[in-house]
Amino acid sequence: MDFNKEYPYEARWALRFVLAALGFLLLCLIEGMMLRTKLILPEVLTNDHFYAVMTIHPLVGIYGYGYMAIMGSFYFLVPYLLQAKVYNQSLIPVNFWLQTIGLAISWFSCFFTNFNSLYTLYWPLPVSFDRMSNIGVLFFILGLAIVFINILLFSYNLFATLIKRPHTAKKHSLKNYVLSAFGFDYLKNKPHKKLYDDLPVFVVAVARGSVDTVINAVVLLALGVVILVYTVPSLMGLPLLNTLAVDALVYKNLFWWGLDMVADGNVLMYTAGTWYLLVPMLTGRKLFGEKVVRLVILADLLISMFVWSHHLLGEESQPKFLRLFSGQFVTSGEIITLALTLFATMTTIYLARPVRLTAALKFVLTSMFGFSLGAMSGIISSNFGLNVVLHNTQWVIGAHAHMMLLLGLSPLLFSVVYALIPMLFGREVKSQVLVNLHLVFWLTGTLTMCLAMGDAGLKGMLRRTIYFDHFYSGEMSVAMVGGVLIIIGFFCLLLNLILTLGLKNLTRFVFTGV
Amino acid sequence: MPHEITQYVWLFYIFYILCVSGFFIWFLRKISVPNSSQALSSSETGGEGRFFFWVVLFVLIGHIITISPLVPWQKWRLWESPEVKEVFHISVSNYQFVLPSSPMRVPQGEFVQFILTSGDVTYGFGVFDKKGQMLFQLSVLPGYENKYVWKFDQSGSYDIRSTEYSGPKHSSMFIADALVVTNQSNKKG
Repeated sequence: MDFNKEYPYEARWALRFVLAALGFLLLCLIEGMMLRTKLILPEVLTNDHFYAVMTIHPLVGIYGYGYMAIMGSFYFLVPYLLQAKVYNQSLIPVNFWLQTIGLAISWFSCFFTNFNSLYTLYWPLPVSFDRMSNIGVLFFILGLAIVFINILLFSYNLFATLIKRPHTAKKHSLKNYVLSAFGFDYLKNKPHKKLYDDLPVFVVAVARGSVDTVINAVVLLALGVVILVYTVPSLMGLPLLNTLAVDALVYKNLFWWGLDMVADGNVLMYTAGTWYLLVPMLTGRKLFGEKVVRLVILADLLISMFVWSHHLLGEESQPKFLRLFSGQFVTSGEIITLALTLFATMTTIYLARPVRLTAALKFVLTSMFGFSLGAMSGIISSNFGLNVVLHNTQWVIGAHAHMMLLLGLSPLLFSVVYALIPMLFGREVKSQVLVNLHLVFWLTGTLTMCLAMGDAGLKGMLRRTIYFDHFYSGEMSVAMVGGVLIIIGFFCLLLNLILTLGLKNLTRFVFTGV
Repeated sequence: MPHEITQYVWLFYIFYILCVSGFFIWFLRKISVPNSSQALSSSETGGEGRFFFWVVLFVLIGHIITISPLVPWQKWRLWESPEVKEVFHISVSNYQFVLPSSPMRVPQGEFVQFILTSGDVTYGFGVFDKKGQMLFQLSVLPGYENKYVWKFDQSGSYDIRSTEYSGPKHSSMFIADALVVTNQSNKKG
């Protein structure tokens, strides 16, 4: 299939998803600047407004920016690598619109009702109607339910593409693929033995990561139902059901187990898979240590099942065994798998030298740098002893979460954009100067912002807390400078896309898909 | 004590960033020149085992250091069951801490226990020194007795603040000088 001459259906939609993802990123950056402004100048926004923005900000980032980019890229790359068509092509636009509409509903529920339970939705805050609007809860949860159902549809389409692809000697059931994803075929000589060993490494990472994606969507949907069970009677004017009927600790364990399938699950496997795909493609060399890499992806999936308790290190009611075993010891396994992933991909680049530092490769290397920094601060946070002074501080959200998302994941998504353009349009991005400016501003901006937040956290600044006495205004002002640099970097990318593809083409593409 | 630990964390992290940055700079220089070692270039596997060993060793050392009493509070959080000198019952509801006394007087160098309950949503309980440095914290879950044992090494006044988001008025859950730690031996003297 010559992608340079004809633009297949999946390819056109891939670009549309990616452009929409960049739109969500811009929204996320604007929200981030609003939050930062409030932390420097507490008088500028009302508290309700501030926390409503804080509630939707991570969801726009993860389920808007992150997932739209992932959906677009995978809808193009998975069938491309399997030499097959997407199983149900009509689901691709459905996925695009459901994701956008679902997020828009949740976003508007925060905008109009100031719904501010934060994405954590800790029980029973979302159903505490003295603090939250019940209409806001209803629409927020309905919007997210659409998003999660859409993610399940997307995962179904990916797995169906894998299972129903042509050119396979033997068909296997979904059950076999799921069992194999967890490595059961390594234990017994099952008929589906080595099911994943015959697939491209990228597809293995996508398939195993999608197991986490499904669990994430199912668990969070179930908790959404619990919230609605309490919300609907309130909307009908009936008295509030007893909130103690739901155990706050069990709920929190379930919530984090489900949510961690993204934060400590699929993101790591999808990232590793994308590195495994891009690095050999960009260097023209076979991936180093491919057998080990396949085992690493399996290890990532198994580890992701048992790490959730690092989010509950501040709960003294949580059994100590879980906090130590799941919270600290198993979580540290993530740095081992990440290190092995980096070892394999960086050795591949090293052996291919001299390599041409294309735009895509520059951002791949930047993402490796970012994950190296963000993973270490995360491992420090998940330490049973150190968490006493780090939990709920700006360290966790700055030096860890934003470092992972802005300096790890984002450059990887940018590298996909820079790699897709020549594949789809047969031309490089127009300006290498703008590529370099994008890189420099994004890198310095993210480092400045994340380290300033980390520094504030180590000095005792809490996340989700407004300091009316301007106690940490200095650190937050430095973080703000970092935010401005990040936005300049983003506009360098946008300008380069416009120069490369044309403003008219891009606009027409986003709105009509042709 | 917590101040020193966070300083060590910061120094370690900055050192780590410098090492990683140095490695990436070296790597970028290296990959821009041709590969002169044919032996290495022909290998497609190998070295992962040794690398795995060193990473695991690094992680293990990290665990050993941080679960040992080198982190001072690990001594009583993990390795001992100290006898508490005094117990403070604190309830929280409707964005308010209800303290047993104001301020709560705590003996320096003795183990004390805080038992917190919530009447509505999840809150947090964090103790901070006058520089804003957090000493410790815990979540206050509704339906549970949330207990925490601590030993204050330094005398002086401490503030308390809710560390968990509980609604739009969460940031106002702050009580200055809620705790006063006094040196009992000086008092007797």
